[in-house]
Amino acid sequence: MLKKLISYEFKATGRTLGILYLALIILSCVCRLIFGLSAFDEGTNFATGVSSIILIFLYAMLICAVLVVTFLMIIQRFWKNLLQNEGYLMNMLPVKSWQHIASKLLVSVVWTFVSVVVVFLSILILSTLSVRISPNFLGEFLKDLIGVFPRMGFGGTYLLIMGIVILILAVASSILQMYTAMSIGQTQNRYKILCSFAAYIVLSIIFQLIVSLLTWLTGVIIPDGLVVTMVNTTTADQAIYLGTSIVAVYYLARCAILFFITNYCLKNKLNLE
Amino acid sequence: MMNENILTCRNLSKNYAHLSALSGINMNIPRGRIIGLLGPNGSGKTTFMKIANGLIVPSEGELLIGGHRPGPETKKIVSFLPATEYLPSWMSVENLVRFFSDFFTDFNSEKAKGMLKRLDIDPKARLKTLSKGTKEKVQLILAMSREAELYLLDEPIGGVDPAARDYILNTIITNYNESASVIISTHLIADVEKVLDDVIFIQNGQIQLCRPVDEIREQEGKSVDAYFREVFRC
Repeated sequence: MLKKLISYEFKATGRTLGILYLALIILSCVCRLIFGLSAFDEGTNFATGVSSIILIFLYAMLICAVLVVTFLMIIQRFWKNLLQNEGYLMNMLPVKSWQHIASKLLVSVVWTFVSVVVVFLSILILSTLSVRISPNFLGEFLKDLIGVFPRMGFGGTYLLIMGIVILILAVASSILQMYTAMSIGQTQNRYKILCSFAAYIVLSIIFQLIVSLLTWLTGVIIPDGLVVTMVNTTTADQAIYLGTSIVAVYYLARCAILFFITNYCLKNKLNLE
Repeated sequence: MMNENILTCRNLSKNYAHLSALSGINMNIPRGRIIGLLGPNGSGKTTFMKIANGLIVPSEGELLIGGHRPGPETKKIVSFLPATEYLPSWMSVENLVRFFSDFFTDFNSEKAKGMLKRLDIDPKARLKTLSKGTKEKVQLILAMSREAELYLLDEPIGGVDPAARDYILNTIITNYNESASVIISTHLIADVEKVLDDVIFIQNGQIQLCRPVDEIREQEGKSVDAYFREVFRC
């Protein structure tokens, strides 16, 4: 069932987002080609000036569109597809509520990363306008960047892997927080949207408080003397393990709490109009 | 063990801030009957159906289908037709047939395709391009192509022309299997009464009566429609 939900979710979102992302890449290539023309080497005249402004404007708009539309799509898939009229269909399926949440979350996380990669790619395409930046150069640059980590010892590779894991968990927890807010808001009979916003703000405050508490607690538990010796390279690995582990556990716990609350609301407090 | 009753509810109530949509509903729906849930607008018919499908939660009381509270087990055996347009309008008719087929093991796609063909509905058409009446027919075909144990049809003939109404009612009685039950909620009684076995009259969230159609006709000497007007005279 989960696989079917995920596949359906991709089908529902794929066309709109796919076209948008492709449009950005195409526009980047167009910009790259046009700005690469020799006409632009000889300083500006009216024609190059106007076309520059138009192209740059379009390009900026499209980058915004890619990020904004992805964000709005994530919200809309949850609110409209689960909690408005289409919710009659989705909630009629013999599927557990956690499967609805998991499928939408997975697809939303994927699209978030894809949208960022697409924006990066488009900037990369434009960056090849600079004579100094060639595909070879970029390849070398990336290899060096990633290569830094293993050179730090095992701690470095751990940092890289955990960094990616934490990034995914952080994105997931942000999306989940919106889901939780919406699922709390829908339990109300009136002012559902207002309540969702309020719930989101309250959740943000709560998690800020938790982070502050954890930071203060870590400061209390780890005495200053130990911090000084942590700078010593022989314990650098342990510092990395501890630091990244705490952050990872925090995001994991946050995801779990938010998932639990969302599931509880959808399973026991569904209130479709 | 096959329970006598497919749906039971005890003391079912749903309260909102300013009104009580349902209060103290007690009901036992046996298998194999076509039941009309009849009442004026705002009497609680849709609220009842939403609770039965787990789309809202009751304030008090309990509703069980096949012995279970509304959840994935009941959704497997209940086919619900909401009164509103609820299908994603970007999907085509054949996408929807495939969707239903993917998620409901009791969905009979051959039957659905046959009915669509007989009504000249283009399977490749996207829902948003179809007229309101055609959309309602598609919704009904999808609901009736499930081989469910309980069909809950909320105002299935509401927005449809008289000829289509006859087709829809005919579809309902020829397509459901005899051990299944059908609850049709409507305020258009005259059209629907010929297919009903039993009627439940509901008003202001309370059940006024619950009787077999034959008994009403014999004992009251009038059609259910006429009897309804008498009971609910303003």
